[in-house]
Amino acid sequence: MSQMLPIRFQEHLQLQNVGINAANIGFSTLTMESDKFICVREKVGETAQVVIIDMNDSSNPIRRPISADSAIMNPTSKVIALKGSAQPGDPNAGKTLQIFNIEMKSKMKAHTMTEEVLFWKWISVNTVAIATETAVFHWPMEGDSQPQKMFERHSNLQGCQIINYRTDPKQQWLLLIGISAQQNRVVGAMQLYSVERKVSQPIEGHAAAFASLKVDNNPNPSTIFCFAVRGPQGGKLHIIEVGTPPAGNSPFSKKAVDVFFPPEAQNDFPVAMQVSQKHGVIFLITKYGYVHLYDIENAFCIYMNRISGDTIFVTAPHDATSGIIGVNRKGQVLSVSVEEDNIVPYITNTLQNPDLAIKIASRSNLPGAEELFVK
Amino acid sequence: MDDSDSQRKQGTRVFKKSSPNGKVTVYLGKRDFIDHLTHIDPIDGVVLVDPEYLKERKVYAHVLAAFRYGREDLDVLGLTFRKDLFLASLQVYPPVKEQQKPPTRLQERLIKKLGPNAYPFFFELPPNAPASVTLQPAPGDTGKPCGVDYELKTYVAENLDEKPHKRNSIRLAIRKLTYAPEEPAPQPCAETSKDFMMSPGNIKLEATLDKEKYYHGESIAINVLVDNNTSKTVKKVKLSVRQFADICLFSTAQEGFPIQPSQTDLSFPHRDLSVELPFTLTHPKPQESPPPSRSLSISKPSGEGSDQPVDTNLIQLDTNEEGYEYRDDDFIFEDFARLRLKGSEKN
Repeated sequence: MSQMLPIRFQEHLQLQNVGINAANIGFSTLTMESDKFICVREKVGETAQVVIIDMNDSSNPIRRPISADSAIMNPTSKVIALKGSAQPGDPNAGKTLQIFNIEMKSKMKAHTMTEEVLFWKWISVNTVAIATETAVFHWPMEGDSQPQKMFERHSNLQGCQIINYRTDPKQQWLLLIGISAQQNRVVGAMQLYSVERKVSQPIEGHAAAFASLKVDNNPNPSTIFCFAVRGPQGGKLHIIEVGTPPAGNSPFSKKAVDVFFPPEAQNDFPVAMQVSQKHGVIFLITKYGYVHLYDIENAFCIYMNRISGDTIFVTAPHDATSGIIGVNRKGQVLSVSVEEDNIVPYITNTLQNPDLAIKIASRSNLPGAEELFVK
Repeated sequence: MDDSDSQRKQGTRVFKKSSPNGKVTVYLGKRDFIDHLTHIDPIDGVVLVDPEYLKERKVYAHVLAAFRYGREDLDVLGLTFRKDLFLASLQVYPPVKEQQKPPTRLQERLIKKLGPNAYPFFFELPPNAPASVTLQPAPGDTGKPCGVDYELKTYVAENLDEKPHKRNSIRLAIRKLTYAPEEPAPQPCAETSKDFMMSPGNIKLEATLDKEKYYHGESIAINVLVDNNTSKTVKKVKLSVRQFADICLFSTAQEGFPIQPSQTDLSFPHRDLSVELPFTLTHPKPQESPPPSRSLSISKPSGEGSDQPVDTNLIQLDTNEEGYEYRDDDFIFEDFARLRLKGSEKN
């Protein structure tokens, strides 16, 4: 009997097969803001271009000339945000931000920041988050709105390379993530900000995600913050409820669990995290291409395996499967998701954990636990 | 290794089209091949093949010039109103040693760019080959207009006589255009006069064109002088342009081509008085140098302060109707399909 896996692994695309140069497959030239589009900046001869790959029509990428040094695509529509490249003699060139509607061939919005933009990202279908040296802004796309300062940066991320920014679904909890090399190790630093309380908390962490889902049989969803870190002592995953629990809910007690790194992966550390709200599962991906699955309510590690020999440098939620989709340095676009038919039997039989199996089966309405209920 | 910096800036435009199944692609440097009277532009290009798809089959190319002289709806007897005027075929892949010619500069560069699966082809039209022309349909005419058309077809087959299949063939509508050189010619001028039987005096009509040769798209300026010394009133002055085409279907005297270089009349079909002014209508001289490389609508922002409006675009979204593609190694690849001649609303 072949081994039944609790995950489904899929390769969606090989970017080099659709004309992307291997040299341009990396964090600074390739962005994937959602599972709908991938944007790659390429220099072809004398021309700088952006290649836009529509994941629904991946064999026909479109190319357009640009003079931008960053291009990020809206999560759902053919709207692209571009940042100008710094030009000698022009202090504003590198601070110019423009938003274009590709189908209408029109420029929708433009703004010149007063500081260099270090990192930016679409945090929803109509808002771009912008991080500078001193602050983080949210820029809504409606009307004439300009970027609004959300919070000032904490000193804990000074000198870090900003690699990510996340918010909870209601944009009340904001998180900036950076990394730096210290003493032969990659140290992760995060700043967590509460919009309501107007306070920041510095945290050591490498990868994090927010989720809004019902836990512990509560009637209402809780806002859950999970983050993973590999510190000098080892790897840890923390799962915490943030904010006041909704009326009618019991508070969620925070969980922590070890994150395992094999001995041969001394320098490995978490790089990405996505939560499947549908299945109540946390996907964690490490720099060396390992994937871990954790149950969100009790932090139990359901599965671990290596899915890529090359670094996965960008990920996004994979909507179709409620999983995680990523791109590795070789240009492979791959996704991991819960194998719905298998996960419950796997937890029962392979993990020998019928309680967890029942919990997941009933929480997420998954098959395979019928006989457990009888027992 | 070879291109100088100045040439790099220009970019060579190359047209391409793939077969519906994507396994065969044709690359051509031109869509229109000019007859310079001293020589005719050769039809040179390359075909990019997928040898694994082809297996034992071959790739052929042919240039076919045909004259369409009837409407399809009149075709009751199953006769096709088409007469083939010229046909040249060759086997492109696998290359045939005897047919091989040294590659042209364009072919060399394309092969270097596209790799070992690109094979050259070369056609030379004979000196008296007919020019591409489309006869304007009469009002009420339906169906494809009559005229002479050229087609370059590339297809996969086991042998030359096999009928091409749509999925793995490519049809390109090319044109052979005659270019008439700038020779000075006298301004067309004509005059006539008429006396009337029953009334005194005469009426003179004089007409002049501003030049003898016009290019397609140019305006024609006509000067009309009416000197009326009669007691009659001139009620109307009518001008028309008529293009005459000699269509010779079954000529035994000439080698195949039915249509002479166009000649056009300017006549005044008034029943009392008319003059005719013949002139030449032709295609403009082709450009000497390759077209300038596509200029981007991106301009570098000037060094103004923070008041500078952010209107210099960071991305060029305008594409022309031909489907802009990226330029690579000083080639600019474009889809072969032509712009529609009528102006369109889109920019």
